[in-house]
Amino acid sequence: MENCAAQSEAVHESLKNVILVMHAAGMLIPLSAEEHGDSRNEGQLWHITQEKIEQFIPGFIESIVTLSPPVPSSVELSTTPALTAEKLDPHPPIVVQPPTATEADEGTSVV
Amino acid sequence: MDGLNIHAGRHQLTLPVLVSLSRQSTSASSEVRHAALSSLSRAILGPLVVVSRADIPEIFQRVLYPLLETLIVASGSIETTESRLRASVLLGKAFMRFEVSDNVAGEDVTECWMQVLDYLGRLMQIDHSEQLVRFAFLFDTHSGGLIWRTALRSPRPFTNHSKM
Repeated sequence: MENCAAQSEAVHESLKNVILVMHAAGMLIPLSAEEHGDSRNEGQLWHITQEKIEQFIPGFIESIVTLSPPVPSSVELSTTPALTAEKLDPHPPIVVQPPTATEADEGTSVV
Repeated sequence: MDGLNIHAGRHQLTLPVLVSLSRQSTSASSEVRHAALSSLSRAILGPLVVVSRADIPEIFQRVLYPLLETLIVASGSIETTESRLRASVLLGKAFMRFEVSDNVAGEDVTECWMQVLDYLGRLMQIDHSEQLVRFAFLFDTHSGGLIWRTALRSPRPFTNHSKM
């Protein structure tokens, strides 16, 4: 039971990291109600993603990406150490960093 | 030889290695499995393997998806759970590297993203179904002996081709 819970939590964490990075890169932009008919690719991707994730974790994507904060227009590349998921709070700018060999098999860091 | 051919040649050299590491990552031997998954993670996420944009789908389809597929159908145990965890982290990181960080042209990632979501969703659903199965075994122990013995027998974590 504990293993299953750990597995579920780790997969959640992994999915959360990917969504946060995509959001920071401007690929996943939340749709407000009036923008639902938006034809932009980012809007469509959000809609499809939301529908897909709702099937196995209802309300998950809305809980990690709120509708209000502005989305950075570009991905910031940095040489600082990778952030861990525990250190992330809901609003900081998210740093996307190419993975290195040393961190390749690490557990749940952001990238 | 022009740059394109060099890239294609390099990919033809590295892909079989990655495919092999992917298969060994579900080996019956825990040492082999652990070492293969670590090497595969380093190879895919590290700087040593350079993958051109055109070759990225092949990395997902021939290396990562088969690994996840095998792990999903494997019977549940602590070792399987650990491998599933590491493979799901690798899948997420590979997506972030190839389809987010390296995707400077802003190409459409919908297809790959849907596949990644599909696998992560299936991993979570396995989690729930295994909990239900375990609960059923525990419940049946109050009434039947045969099911109790079946439940006690620890299943082989991996039963694929690469038995050591």
